[in-house]
Amino acid sequence: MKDSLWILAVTLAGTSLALGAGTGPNRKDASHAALEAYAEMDYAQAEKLAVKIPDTPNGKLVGGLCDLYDRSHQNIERGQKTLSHLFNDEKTPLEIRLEAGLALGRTVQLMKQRHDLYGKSADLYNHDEILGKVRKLAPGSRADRDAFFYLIRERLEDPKRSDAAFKELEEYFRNFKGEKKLLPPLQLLAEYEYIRLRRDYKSAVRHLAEGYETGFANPSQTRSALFRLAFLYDRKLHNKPMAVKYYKEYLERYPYSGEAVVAKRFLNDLGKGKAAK
Amino acid sequence: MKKKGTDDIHQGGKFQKLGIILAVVFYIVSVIMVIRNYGGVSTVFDPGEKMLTIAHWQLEDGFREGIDEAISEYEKTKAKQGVKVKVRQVAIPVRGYPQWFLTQLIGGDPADVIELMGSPDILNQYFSPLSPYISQKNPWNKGTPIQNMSWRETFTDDMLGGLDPAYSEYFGVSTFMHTTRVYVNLDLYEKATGTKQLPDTVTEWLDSCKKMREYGVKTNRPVIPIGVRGFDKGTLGQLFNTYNSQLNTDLADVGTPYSYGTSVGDMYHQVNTGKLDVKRLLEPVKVVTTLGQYFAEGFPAIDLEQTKYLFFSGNVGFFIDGTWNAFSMINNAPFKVGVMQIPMLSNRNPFGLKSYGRITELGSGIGGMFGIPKKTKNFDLALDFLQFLTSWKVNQMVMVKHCKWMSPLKGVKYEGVMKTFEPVSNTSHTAVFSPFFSGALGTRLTLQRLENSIIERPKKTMEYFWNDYLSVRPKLIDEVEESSRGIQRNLWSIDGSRSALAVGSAISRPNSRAGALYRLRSNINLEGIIGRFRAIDANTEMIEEMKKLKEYGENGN
Amino acid sequence: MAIEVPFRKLRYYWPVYLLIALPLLLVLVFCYQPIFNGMWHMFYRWDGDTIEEFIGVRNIVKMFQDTTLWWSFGVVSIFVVANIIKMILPIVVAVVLHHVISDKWGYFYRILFVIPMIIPSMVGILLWKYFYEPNSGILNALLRVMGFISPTDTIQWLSNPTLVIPSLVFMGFPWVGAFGVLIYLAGLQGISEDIYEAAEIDGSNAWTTFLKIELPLITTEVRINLVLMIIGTIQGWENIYLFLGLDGGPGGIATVPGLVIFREAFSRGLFGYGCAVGFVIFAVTLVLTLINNRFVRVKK
Repeated sequence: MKDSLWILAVTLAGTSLALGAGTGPNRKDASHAALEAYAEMDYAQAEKLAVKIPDTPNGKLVGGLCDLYDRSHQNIERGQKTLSHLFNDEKTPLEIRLEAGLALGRTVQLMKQRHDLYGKSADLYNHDEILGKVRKLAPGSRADRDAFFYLIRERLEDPKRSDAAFKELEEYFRNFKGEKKLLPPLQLLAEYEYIRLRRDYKSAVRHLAEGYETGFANPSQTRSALFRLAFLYDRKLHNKPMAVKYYKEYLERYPYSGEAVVAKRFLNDLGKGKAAK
Repeated sequence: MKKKGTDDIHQGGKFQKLGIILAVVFYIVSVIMVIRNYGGVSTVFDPGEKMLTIAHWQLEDGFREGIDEAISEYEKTKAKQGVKVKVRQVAIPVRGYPQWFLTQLIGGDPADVIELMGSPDILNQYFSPLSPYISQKNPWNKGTPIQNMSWRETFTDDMLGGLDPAYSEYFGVSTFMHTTRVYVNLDLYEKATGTKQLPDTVTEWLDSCKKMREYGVKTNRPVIPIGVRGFDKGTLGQLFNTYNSQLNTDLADVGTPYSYGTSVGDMYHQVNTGKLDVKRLLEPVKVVTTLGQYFAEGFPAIDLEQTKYLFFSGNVGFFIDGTWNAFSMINNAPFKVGVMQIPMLSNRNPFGLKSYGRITELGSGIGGMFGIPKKTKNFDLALDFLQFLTSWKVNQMVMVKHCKWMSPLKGVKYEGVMKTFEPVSNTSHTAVFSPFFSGALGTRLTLQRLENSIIERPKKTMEYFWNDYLSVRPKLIDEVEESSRGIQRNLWSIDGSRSALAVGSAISRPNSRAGALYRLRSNINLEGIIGRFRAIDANTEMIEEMKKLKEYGENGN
Repeated sequence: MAIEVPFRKLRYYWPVYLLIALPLLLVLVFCYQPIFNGMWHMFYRWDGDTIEEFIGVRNIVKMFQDTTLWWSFGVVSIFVVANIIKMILPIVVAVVLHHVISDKWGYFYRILFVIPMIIPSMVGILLWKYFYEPNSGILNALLRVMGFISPTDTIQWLSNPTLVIPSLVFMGFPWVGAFGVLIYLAGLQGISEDIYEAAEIDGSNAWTTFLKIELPLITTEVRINLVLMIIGTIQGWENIYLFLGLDGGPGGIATVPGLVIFREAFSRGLFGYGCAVGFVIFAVTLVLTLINNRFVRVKK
């Protein structure tokens, strides 16, 4: 009898301790910790924390995103389902909706590009619609910029929609009300597509120059863009004053680079009035 | 009858005791070695002392000694700052390094500062991005000529070499710079050619090689005019790229539709449309196969160590290698060793080819990328140590003083033989890459074909090479297709990074530095995607054009 | 001797089964699991890490179109045939050792054969590489001294496409490995003296004794060595890699299937394709082993 009582007492004590330990940090902390772990791309830890708060928007978001981006790619459909519910639920906080929509839309778009791999799973959602909706929810925001970036590239590459897409692109730049610093990646894309699809160097250089003036985030991109500006003005547009301006600027900023010797030579050639090929 | 049992048991007992004693001794030795390797008794028994590990695969003379001196300096300086730290150096041979590196990362307990090797996906998954830190000044540069520059700007290439093109992220920083030079056995050279003046052009070089060979025959010595590391085809690649650039650098002036430079697809498009004669792309083959007649017999099977041995035995006239072996080449040779640049192709060359002369080496040859894994327990200290290693004073101490290597930093002055290692900068042309090097497999197959050309010595070298190259076209196309699939997969991972950065930005406090860094990296991420689009489009073009290439002579070449 | 234990009495022998369970688990995890994992991944485009794309039989189709792989099987067949011939000398040496009259000298010769076993095989390979080095290697130096080639000439043992494979076959000369000798010797020592006496009475000479008595009675050992040799030769690639590099010599002439796997998997990152090739090697080895078991019978 005495032994049984001892066993019961120990079991009760152990259970209380376990329950106490199990509550752990409160749900708000777990939520933030899950988001933090995800921001560091520690999917294993993020998932572990998300599982503790499965019925919260943050928990669902982190769980869904981990399923999508985890390198094993085993639970993509599950992740997309979770994010789709989050995105379509109007009660979900806006920031969460935007990220859910962006991730869902972009991954669906990528799956459609590899139909051979994903088969019918790629057709479960309409990325055009999803990304379009993201744009409408937060015009001028980073999410709007990202969604537009993914959509416009696809439309530009489609011969049937290309002309309209270029017009849409120009309209976007004209009407953009958000932070100017968000535009340089789009300007780089514009430069690339104007050259690739139309060999329209004037428009390409215009966008590149705007992006350069606003400032690229990546310093290497800045360097490359500056040389490109000089080169395109020189060799494609035959605009000597602008070419000289940018070559000089390049030499001032990057005298040790490999292209510096080329910039000097081209500058000399321009000075001697040599016609570019 | 003799009772065997007792003696046997007694004998068995002795052996058992011996076995137990040996086992105990080995166990104690193992424990001592583990403690020693872990950093010594102080680290085990003083948890306040932090332990850092730096791992690399540089076994060349001087490197480990240089790092040891840097470690000693660092530990002393940090001790004065009240930080107890011990740094351990681990050097792994290069042949086993890729496997060791991956195992360490997957195992979850990698070195804190580790030399990078591997695909962009590996780097993105396991290494901390350094872009948040490269725009800040390196605190260890205080009092030096580069103290006012950001960490990125202190490098001669503005850290371009550390930029991963797939993720537009900096996962590592470089610690040294190399160029390729020719080491000369001055005694042999003088005896064979009768002059001390080293060759500056290919014509002079071929002439001195011929004289060396004749000298060998005259004196009954197996003289090898040009020693190369044939086993990994390193030298072959270097020579080919050097002469390709000297012959075809003007192709970069015309540029691609997008920018200065060349692209494989664009060059093959020009060949297919008749705008570019394929002969131009094959001219370096002629040059290298001619030089190849002066390589060691059986050079494909000779590795670096064997070539060095041959050089030290006094039978090799010229040895082409990087400056990473300068220390051992110059110090260990029993004769006087000279250093010269790879002779250039002047316009009065025996092939009748137009050459643009020497090409700039600025911005190239930067290597020794070290990064910090995400799983490190001491990120701040690891970053601090990395900044210490790449600071103006310490980097020169390790690289210039110990290894006789060049530093990747700006403002470093070289003296003596190291002046010959300095990158060529007084030219006006840059290197261009050959379309034959379309990928890792493409490079390997191309160099194999080049090797075949040297060994077989066909009458029509260029035609032989080109047709041999086209015979492996399916494999090259296969590789490019695989590369495109890889880039597609990259795009998914890049979007994963985008998403993580977006979440990071959302949870950061407004106007906080962390938030600003997340937004910066977000923009870097998106800017980098255009590079991936370009790569996929370039691969598609490359495949289309490769399929249309014709055998030599079929399209009027 | 094994005895049959009724199932209901197994519980009395549980310690035995428990002790067997642990090594069995380790064998399952470290031997069988990788095999099944490899067979699974041969249907995938797999980078060895987490990138896995199901591609059906595309790797197998690719294998049939891969001329390098078929060439490598041809090369390895040459090595198998050469190694079979090389098995003769250890048998001869074992027979000679067996017939050494003095126990002391017999023991001494056995020690001489065993000592080289302690040298790591890597060292041996590097020595042979130096042996074949065209400019300063021992073989060419010997030929120069003997006047077969002039002092400035070289024979490119590992770079001349016609000489590469013969050089690799010749490697290890005189091909008397301690392992083989000791195994055959153990078999020969198991032959009863009565049989030798009976043979002598019947007027059998040394050659007849060897052919009709000793060789048949060591067939078990010969078969074991043959199986091990076939498996080792078909799977082996390290020698080729160390001698000739990743490409397998000039024009890939000495590429073997194991080198193809290493190249495709670790150099190109095509682990899925490497698994497919590995499976084919496994199948070929299995078939050859079955043939060996069928035709090399043990006469009791």
